[in-house]
Amino acid sequence: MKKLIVRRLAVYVPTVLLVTFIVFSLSNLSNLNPVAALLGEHEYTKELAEAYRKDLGLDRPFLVRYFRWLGNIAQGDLGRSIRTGSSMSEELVQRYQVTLELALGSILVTMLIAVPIGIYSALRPRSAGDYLGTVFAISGVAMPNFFMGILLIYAFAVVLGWLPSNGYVEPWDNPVENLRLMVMPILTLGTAGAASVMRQTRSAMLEVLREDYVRTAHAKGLSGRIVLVRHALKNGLIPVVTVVGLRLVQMLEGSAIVETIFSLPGMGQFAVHGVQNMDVVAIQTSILVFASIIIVVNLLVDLLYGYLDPRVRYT
Amino acid sequence: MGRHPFVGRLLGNKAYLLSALVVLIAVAAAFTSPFSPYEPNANDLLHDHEGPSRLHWLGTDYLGRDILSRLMHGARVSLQVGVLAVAASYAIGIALGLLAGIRGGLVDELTMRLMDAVFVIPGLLLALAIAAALGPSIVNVMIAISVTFIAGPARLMRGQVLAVREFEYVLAARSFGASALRIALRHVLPNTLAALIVSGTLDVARAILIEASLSFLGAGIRPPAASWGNMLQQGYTYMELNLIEPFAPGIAIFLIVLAINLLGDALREAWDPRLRGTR
Repeated sequence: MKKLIVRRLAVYVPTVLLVTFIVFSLSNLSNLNPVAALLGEHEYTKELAEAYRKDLGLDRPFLVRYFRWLGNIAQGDLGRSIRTGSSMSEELVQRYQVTLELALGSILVTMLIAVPIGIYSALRPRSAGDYLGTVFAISGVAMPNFFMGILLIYAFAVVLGWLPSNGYVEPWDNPVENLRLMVMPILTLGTAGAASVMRQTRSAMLEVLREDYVRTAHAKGLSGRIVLVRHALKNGLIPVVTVVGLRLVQMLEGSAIVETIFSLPGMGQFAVHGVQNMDVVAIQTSILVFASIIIVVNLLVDLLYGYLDPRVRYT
Repeated sequence: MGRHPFVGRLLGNKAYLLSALVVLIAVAAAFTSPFSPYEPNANDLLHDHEGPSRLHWLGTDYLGRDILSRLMHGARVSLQVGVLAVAASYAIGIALGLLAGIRGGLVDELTMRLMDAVFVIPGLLLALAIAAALGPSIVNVMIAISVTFIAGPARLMRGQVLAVREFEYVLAARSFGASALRIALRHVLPNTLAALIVSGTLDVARAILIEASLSFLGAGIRPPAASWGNMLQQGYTYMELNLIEPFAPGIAIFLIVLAINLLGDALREAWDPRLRGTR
């Protein structure tokens, strides 16, 4: 297991460095140039632009700036917003829990919907239930997050008036209100993920149910329930771990949209605001944070896979 | 029908026929958009937020613009961005994958690590940042989206090159003195075409979703130009006055993405005999 961890880590190091390089390069694209952002409020003069360039250290060569930036990040200094001057680290500390709650809630909803339907479909392939499940899965893939969110708002906020349509309250301030505000965002992201996880569960289970050891278990006279839970599910759900990991990537993308629609002050909204304000530091920070989360999750999924499936460990 | 098994299998698939019909309607709408019943940006403030009528089949939006006409122009934007962005990213991705697979060594290592890096950055965020950085235009939206799709075809192509390298027909071609490029173009690429077309089809659907998302967030196609994403965003504000305003573009996005996804699945099933009958 230790060897597996070291080997995986070695693969991720160059990836992380390249990600930082891509992210840093963004600041060199025309419209995101911080000088343009600072000049936006003043009349353009060559001297002023030069002064800003010097001030920001932009007169140095690209690589020098890149390594300085990288050094700062390694020391935990993510910089300050060009627009508001607010510290990126402080922004992240304030925002991460909103996105965390959203992500954990949605994964829970995804699993609660997808795994039972997937297992049912695999146990009764080609039944009406299986067919319905497939239709649901395919529709889920095609449904844009923002339309799903708007449909929910229309149903539960506008027509029924049961839930507030936007805003955020911290869970420890008012748990009930927090839940009421988070139900729709979590449902939006959770149902979107259910589709792919359900399909994966179904096909993985179908495969496992055909295995010899499942037939043997049946032949031994074990009840269907025990065969399913002890023998089939244990192996059938291993590939599902990967899909749930992949889902997290889409969930982070989705958080940008969902947090914007429901006005949740999380990481996704931070990224969108960064783009809308042309705040290059905010954009860099949010992409860097999201990519880091994805890399860590990929690593965890790899390791979990090795833990669950001994075949991976020893190859 | 029986004479050509591939076509026969496709025609036998009802979901495929329905999806093909949806795509055909969208393509027709896109091509006839210059002849839409109204100018897509023609304001008519005396008739804003109207429901469906004989004059305006899908009603009018908050500026009194004809929703049907705007939907048709939006269809053109969606399909154009979806198809061209994917075509561009696949052209680059295939070339990179071939290069990495054939050259191997440091070139391979560098290219694939770069693809890994692109892969772990959430596509929508990367596209958002690039679109914002390049400025608002339909071409820039396409560039932004195509960057996020390069890793898929590159990995696919490289894997294929490595997989067939030891096959006998490739060894045979090499023993005849065929160059690496010739082997790649004549032997490797055609064998991968089916997989590339399937994944390309599915990526067109994803590209359309990303364009709609960008426009919804205000970083894609900017108003007054019509795009399904920005129509939905504007319509959402007036949801309580006229439900069609957000629902028409929303349903349009849903249907076209659904149809293209089903089309991709049907193609995959028709091509891959192992998948036949599994659903």
